[in-house]
Amino acid sequence: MRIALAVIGFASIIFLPFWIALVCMIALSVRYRAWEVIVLGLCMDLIWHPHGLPYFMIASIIIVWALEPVRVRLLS
Amino acid sequence: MRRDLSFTAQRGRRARQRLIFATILIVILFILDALFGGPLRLALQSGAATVWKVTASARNAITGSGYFTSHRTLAQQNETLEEQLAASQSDAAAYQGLKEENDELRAFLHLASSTPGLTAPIVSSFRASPYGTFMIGAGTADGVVPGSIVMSTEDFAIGTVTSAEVHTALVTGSFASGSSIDVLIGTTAAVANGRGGGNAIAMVPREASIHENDAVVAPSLGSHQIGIVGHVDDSASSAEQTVYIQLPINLSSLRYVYIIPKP
Repeated sequence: MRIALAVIGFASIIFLPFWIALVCMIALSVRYRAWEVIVLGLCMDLIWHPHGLPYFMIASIIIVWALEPVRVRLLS
Repeated sequence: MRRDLSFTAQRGRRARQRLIFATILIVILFILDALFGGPLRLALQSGAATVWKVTASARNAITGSGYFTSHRTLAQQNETLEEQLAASQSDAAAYQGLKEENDELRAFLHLASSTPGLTAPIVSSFRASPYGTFMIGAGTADGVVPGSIVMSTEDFAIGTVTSAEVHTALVTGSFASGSSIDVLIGTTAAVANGRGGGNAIAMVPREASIHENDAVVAPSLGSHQIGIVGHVDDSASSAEQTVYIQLPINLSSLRYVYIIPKP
């Protein structure tokens, strides 16, 4: 499941609407301590963001760490 | 039991440490990339453009060949007839594709005769970017530099080049979400705030005479037209009227754009 979500997320950076990547990032963060989420955010910003603050990467870091309590409860 | 619990806790701790490490590493990577002129960014953009081009031709080859059509109907129809049909469809699809490409390129002829520039293919999806950007298959090697104006076949300035690599460039749409651009609506000056998807909103004084389908021109983009007035919301209680601007073309259907290099 984790690999499938990550693959869909990475594919959506190039082929699908960006919100699909966002959904994958949230789904991954809820269920796993997924470092792929931050890599996804970085790739999205490096490919599509011309300059300025990397919003998607910041969002990915926030998602990963903000969902930690939920994840801890789920994993336990 | 206690051993299992301690093993799970240990695994959790390790995963947490990996996540902390990944977070720090990614932030450092981003900062280093920015400091050294974006080598990672350029490599990723170039890779994404290549993947898009390769898969686009593969997709066209599959849909144009009639392969799936044959399989779907094989159970119902005669095999020979179906193969003939698929072959005909393949020829027709290939012809149609070439005809559309030719028509699109021909549409740039009038633009090319009046403004020096070059035609470039679009090598990315319009929907994938959260920032209203897309990639074109021309770069610094072709004279494309940041600030170059990107035109559609219908003579609309659809964006500007914001970063350029050797063979690809990143274009930011004129109405990218969160962007703002000075425009002239008829003779009224205003600031159009991009809403993404080829839409923007501008606030103009109530006394300004603005109607639907009025041209919207951007002086900063070589005074080219960037859209038309789609709707005017004129509330009697407000000192201003809201002008809804739209790009009257379907960006997703574009395959080529015309680049006017920055002088």
